[in-house]
Amino acid sequence: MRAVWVLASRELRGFLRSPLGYALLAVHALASGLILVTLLYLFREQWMLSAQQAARTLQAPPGVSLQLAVVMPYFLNVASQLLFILPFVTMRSIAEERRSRGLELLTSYPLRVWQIVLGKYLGVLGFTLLLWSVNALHVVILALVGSPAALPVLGGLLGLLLFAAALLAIGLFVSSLAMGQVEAAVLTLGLFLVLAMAGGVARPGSSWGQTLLANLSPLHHYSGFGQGLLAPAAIGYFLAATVLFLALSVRGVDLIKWRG
Amino acid sequence: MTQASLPRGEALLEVEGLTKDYGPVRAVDGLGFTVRRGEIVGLLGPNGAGKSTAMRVLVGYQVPTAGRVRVAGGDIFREGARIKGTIGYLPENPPLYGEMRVREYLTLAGQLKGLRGAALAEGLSRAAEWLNLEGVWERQAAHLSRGYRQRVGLAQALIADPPLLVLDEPATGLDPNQIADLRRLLAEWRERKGILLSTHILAEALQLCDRVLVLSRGRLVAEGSPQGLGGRGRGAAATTILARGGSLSPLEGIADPGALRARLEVAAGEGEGSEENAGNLWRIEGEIDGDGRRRLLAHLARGGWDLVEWSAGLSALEQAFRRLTLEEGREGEETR
Repeated sequence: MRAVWVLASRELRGFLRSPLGYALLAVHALASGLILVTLLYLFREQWMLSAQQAARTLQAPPGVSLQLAVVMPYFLNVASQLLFILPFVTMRSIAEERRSRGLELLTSYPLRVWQIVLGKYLGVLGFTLLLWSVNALHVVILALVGSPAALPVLGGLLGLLLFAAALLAIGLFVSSLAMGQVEAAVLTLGLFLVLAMAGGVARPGSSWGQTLLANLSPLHHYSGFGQGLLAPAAIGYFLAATVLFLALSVRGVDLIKWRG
Repeated sequence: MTQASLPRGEALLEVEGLTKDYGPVRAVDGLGFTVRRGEIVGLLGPNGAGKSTAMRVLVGYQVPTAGRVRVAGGDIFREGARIKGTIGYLPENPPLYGEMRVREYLTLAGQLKGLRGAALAEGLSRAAEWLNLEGVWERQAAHLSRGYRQRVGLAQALIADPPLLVLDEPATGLDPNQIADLRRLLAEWRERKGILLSTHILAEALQLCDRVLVLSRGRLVAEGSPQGLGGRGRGAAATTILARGGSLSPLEGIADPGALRARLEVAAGEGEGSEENAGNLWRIEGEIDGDGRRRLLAHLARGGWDLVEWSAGLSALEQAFRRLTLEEGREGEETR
């Protein structure tokens, strides 16, 4: 396991010493910040409008929910944003090692393929934790300026982590099949978008096929977390997807050993 | 060279019937050989002969289509992680992580090879000393020259002091001084290790290798000592000599001139700088082997000849290499 941590640490350091790492961090922080500021602005507008209407009708202003107006849409928007950012986190992990012949060298070391894959995975997960910490900071700010319910906020953060963990495993798998990092990024992004769209096909009264398709979508399973619903099925889905795609990534590297 | 005449050392690498196909293309075809402790074996071949592919299979990166590779007695594909600690591998154009300093990169390599604590510190210091890396120890790999990249690549192969070294074109990118250093190091390591190196520099194979394996189109077309293989060529290198001296041919009086011929190039007092031309300038041409070369030099020295120029053409090994690989290439074309 020591070799796994050594590899993970190198992968993480690779991000922290490259312009790409800082660019991704900056884009994520900026976009997440804009989402939060926009939602807070809309919340204020909604609250003021509601207060004005109440004043006109000489009634007490109805409550405008911070949970519904800010917390839920914030987490859903950040999750959608990760669909565009995470392909650039995983694109280099295996595809670039293969192109630069680093994988050739790593496989000549006394390491097993699963150790290489897990080390790479933990490295990209470590970097994603840095991205996630921006959102955790936003939650702290939200708690300071308002009083959001704890469960949806914590559920949203946990869900975001599980969501990202599963997407990273999918991205790593695509990277193990791609010939280069650009190809890996494009294919991963395409796959993420297809999976995201699949989540929108199920409506009340949908056929079993549409329901099945929707259940394949990470966004579909994620949507409950921001409402404070920590459904075991959703948690199981993300954990199973992570394990499945890590195992497939090991097979992907094995395939490189056969294909060349 | 037969198996019986191989140096008596432990077999570190045993390859049997190794075949690797990429789709319909057969990159390596039934390769078989052994590398023992205490010997340097050269894998020679033109570009595309299958040297790098063979090495990738030998170190466990690629799975062979057929055949068996045993390293230090263990099957590389069944017991890979356990026995790979006995291999130090240098790929062609070693891949370094550009953002890492040399010290960090070699520490990473050492840790991944299972070194820690004092053993890691010792490995780092040994690698730095062997490859003269002290001057670039804290430099980022992205800012290293080609020669230093190669040296750092070699250092990672050596850091755990493995008994078997597999080096793909180790002299690539090194300047003549660095090549001389590498030769010295390889000669030192030969005592304790088995070394398989691929090269297309025949002089390197001639100077370093105890045995050479000539690959052509993925097949082993010859195996033996460089000198022995040289005997399969025309046995001598084409040589041209310019010597200044008397009016009689410089070959006059030599016991066995063989294929050598001498002709007067410029008569005394003629040609450029003629005032300084105190003697006739003779051109001696022909193919000459090692013994003939020594006899001719002794003869010219005794006769007081002034040696102006000596140039050797293709060496015996080069001739053999060209003949073996070109013949194989032609046969391959014919059988298609």
